Amino acid sequence: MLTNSQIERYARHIILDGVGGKGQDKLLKAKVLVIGAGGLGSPIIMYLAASGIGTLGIVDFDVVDISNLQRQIMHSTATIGMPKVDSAEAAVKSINPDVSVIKYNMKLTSDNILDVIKDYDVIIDGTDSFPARYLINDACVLSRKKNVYGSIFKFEGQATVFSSPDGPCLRCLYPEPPPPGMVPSCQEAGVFGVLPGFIGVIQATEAIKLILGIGKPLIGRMMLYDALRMEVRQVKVRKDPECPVCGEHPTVTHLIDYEEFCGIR
Amino acid sequence: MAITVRIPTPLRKYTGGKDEVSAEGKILKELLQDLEKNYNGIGARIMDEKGAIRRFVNIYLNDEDVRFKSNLDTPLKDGDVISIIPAIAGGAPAKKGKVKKKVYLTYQKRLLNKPVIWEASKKFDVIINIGTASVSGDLGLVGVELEGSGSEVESLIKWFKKKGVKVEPIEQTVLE
Repeated sequence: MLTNSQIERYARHIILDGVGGKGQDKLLKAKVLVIGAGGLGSPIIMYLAASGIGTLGIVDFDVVDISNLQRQIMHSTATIGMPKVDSAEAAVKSINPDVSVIKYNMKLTSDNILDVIKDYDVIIDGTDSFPARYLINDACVLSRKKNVYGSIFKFEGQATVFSSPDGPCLRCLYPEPPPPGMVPSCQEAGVFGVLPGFIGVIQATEAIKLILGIGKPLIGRMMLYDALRMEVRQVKVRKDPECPVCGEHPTVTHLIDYEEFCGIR
Repeated sequence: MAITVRIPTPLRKYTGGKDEVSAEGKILKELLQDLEKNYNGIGARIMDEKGAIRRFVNIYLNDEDVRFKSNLDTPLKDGDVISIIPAIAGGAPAKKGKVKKKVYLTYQKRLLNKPVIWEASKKFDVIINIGTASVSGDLGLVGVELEGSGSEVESLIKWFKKKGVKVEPIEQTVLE
């Protein structure tokens, strides 16, 4: 049951067809894990908090750096030097004190990830490296959790929902991460500051739709966004029966910690 | 047989910055050969030494992955659009801030004659600068400054704790 102040706060959801009081109640009972409290994590966490997601798990092992603030809008000059999970928690609480935040100031590894994700309804991948993305993908497949994926490079972004019961996973799309030799150092790349805003909002949208069970989820198709052309396209992502993790004869049956690196050259 | 090829950001350095080029070929394999002929070096980014499409690059004919068509033998026709779509990772692929963290390390007696700091500096990409050190009775107390990427410093602290070294923060500052 919604309290009076919740009815006021969520009034625009409650009067909206497709959400309503029942939908808002679902959001308040939902548990969403956001992995990465950076460029993608910022809009994801802020919108999920504003929407009244009851429990937000936030994973990040880094501290806020001044060079983050060009795009990581959840953090601020005042929180430089603070662990990102603490800065994120402060942002959530100032937006919506209804939300309970569970902080994970740690790096996810093959040893701890299954335990971290097990209590959540939806997992959102807002990380910045291939090792993290493959680890999250494999853990979500093994734990049967939906994985709302978003990634960015310079002016371009990709978003999709992986690991739904009949849908594809990251390895159906790209069976293996690129080898470290094929990628530049992270410093060389750079990123357009507003880009993670766009991709992160799509991830937040898809997570909320999954919880409410409304609309057509971004499953089996990937959105491609090009900020310079200002163009959004979609391509099909098929479930691959030969997929090494979710296929008929999986070869990846335990989690892998890949070596750190960051993007294709 | 003009076919439009969409070039992703990471490969635009081969096309002089162009995000879209024209190429020819009756099947995908021929198109990629034509692309390499005009934009030297791009082929090796897309295909491996054996000529197969790399596993972290996908090629789409219109909105369909060619792996689910006839792969390199997929027939092409005038007006088709080929998109090269590599895996990208970044949420925020910018420079990682360097962290300086001052901590007190407290050793139990059994660790006193083990080269823990030497081992730590070999294992982690962290500068360990010793400020103060003292041994009293059964305890060794070392004040150190750890300097490195946030994640590396965190991993080192975890490793210290696993070794049985108590780690207590003195203060924390972040460097630009």
